[in-house]
Amino acid sequence: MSPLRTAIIRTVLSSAALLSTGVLTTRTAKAGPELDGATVYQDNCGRCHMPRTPGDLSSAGWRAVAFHMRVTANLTKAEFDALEAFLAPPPATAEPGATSRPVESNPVLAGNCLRCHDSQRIQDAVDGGRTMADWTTTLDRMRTYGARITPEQADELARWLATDAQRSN
Amino acid sequence: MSPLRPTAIAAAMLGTLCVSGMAVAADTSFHAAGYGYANFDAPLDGDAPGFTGVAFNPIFLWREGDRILVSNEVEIADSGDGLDIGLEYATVAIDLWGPTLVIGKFLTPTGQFISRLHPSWINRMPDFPLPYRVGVTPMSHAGASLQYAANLTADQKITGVAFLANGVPESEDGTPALMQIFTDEPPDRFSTGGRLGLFLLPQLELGGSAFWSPYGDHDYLLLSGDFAFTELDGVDIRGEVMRATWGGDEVFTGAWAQASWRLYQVDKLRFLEPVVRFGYADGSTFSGGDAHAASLDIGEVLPVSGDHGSGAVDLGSEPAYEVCVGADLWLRNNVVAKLAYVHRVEVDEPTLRAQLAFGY
Repeated sequence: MSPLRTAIIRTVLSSAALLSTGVLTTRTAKAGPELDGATVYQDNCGRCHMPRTPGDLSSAGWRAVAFHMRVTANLTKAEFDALEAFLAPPPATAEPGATSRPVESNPVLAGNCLRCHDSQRIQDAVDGGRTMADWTTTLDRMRTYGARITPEQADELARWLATDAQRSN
Repeated sequence: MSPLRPTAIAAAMLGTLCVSGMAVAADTSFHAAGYGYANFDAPLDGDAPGFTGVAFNPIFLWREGDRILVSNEVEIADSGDGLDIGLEYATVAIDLWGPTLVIGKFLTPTGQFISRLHPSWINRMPDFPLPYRVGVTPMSHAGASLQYAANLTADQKITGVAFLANGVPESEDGTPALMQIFTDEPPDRFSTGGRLGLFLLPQLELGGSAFWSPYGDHDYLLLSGDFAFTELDGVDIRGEVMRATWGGDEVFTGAWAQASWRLYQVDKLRFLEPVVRFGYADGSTFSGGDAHAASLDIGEVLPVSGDHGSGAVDLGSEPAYEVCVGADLWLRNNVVAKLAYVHRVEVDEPTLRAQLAFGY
């Protein structure tokens, strides 16, 4: 057997050992770092192609695509779990007597932001007292991710979100 | 029987066993995705312009429960020579509680271009980078691969994939196209390789790949290193260097680098993305003095990678260079119109190349 062939086989076996080590550590190690599904989506999907809007596909469609992307982009288990929870969350069950959140009343927000984000997350940010400048920065970033909001709509929405009237507390 | 068949049959059998035996009666998800494109070339040296090809590539995804995904991609293309229908990949992927086992015909995981960037709606240029048009890299393998990725921190991770596959795939006319450049010996029964990737930052990936296939008394070894820097604000810079040896002798070196910038921050131009790309491919160290290559008329050899509407490159006795400057107009995030000035330097062939591509 040539030295080159020996070296290659050794390399392949080492890689297999590394991968099998991964199996063991995955089963025994604590959960990895907490990952945010939206961030995983932006970081990984946007690495190769223009990210699709999460609202473009059904939850069932995203379940299939998320697994496909796990294989294609070689996502970690933690990334895959976070991505799936973001793109294909289980159907929400409304609590009896629950009322709608103030942020849900804005049509621009409902037609764009809520296609990807949970309204409670946005409401929490509003209740936290974010300023108009904060929201302008956020909305500019969302526009780069593909949110179909004009600059004028972004200005108006940032102003609206920053007013005390939208707080739930 | 072609080398593909035993593995394909084994994959189909294993896939059937998995789906029928392993999977519990869990939820299933089906999704039809894919992409398509149409190309137009206008040579600037006086040749007639024309449409040079169209293709439609449906992708079918079937997820069974939490751990099994069956996927395949079919290419239906017409490059002017008649209808071509091919199977780009067909795999069963099984989540092994962390690592993923992929069985079937899968896209080559070496480098970053074939496995992630080759679909026309993802590729920023209308054609493949130059080193991927000279046939030193198979487009796909029939076999099995095992991949794994682990988060080191919230911002850093390491990825790995290793595969064992049949010998170099045959081209449609039955010749082992990849090695056709170097030998007429039949391929051995297997090939192997893999890739290790390291994300130092979420935006920066470094990768190293190897592909090895024995041919009788000779080994073919392709090594490559790649990088990608992608900023969410629209900057995308990536590239790869490649070196192939056959029997220990260098037979090929190649490289490509690409930079693009989606002009998100310029309101009137936010749908535009300027792109530049450089390509280099040199097989002259081998082809110059080899009797076998001369008998094959190496300039005529076309590779496994196919031209994908991009125009294959003859690996001749001189290094090949290509400079491309273009702009993409994003009509939607999955629909793009590309226009590029492509200049093959050593043969002085400038061409305007346009492509309309969509993904769905």
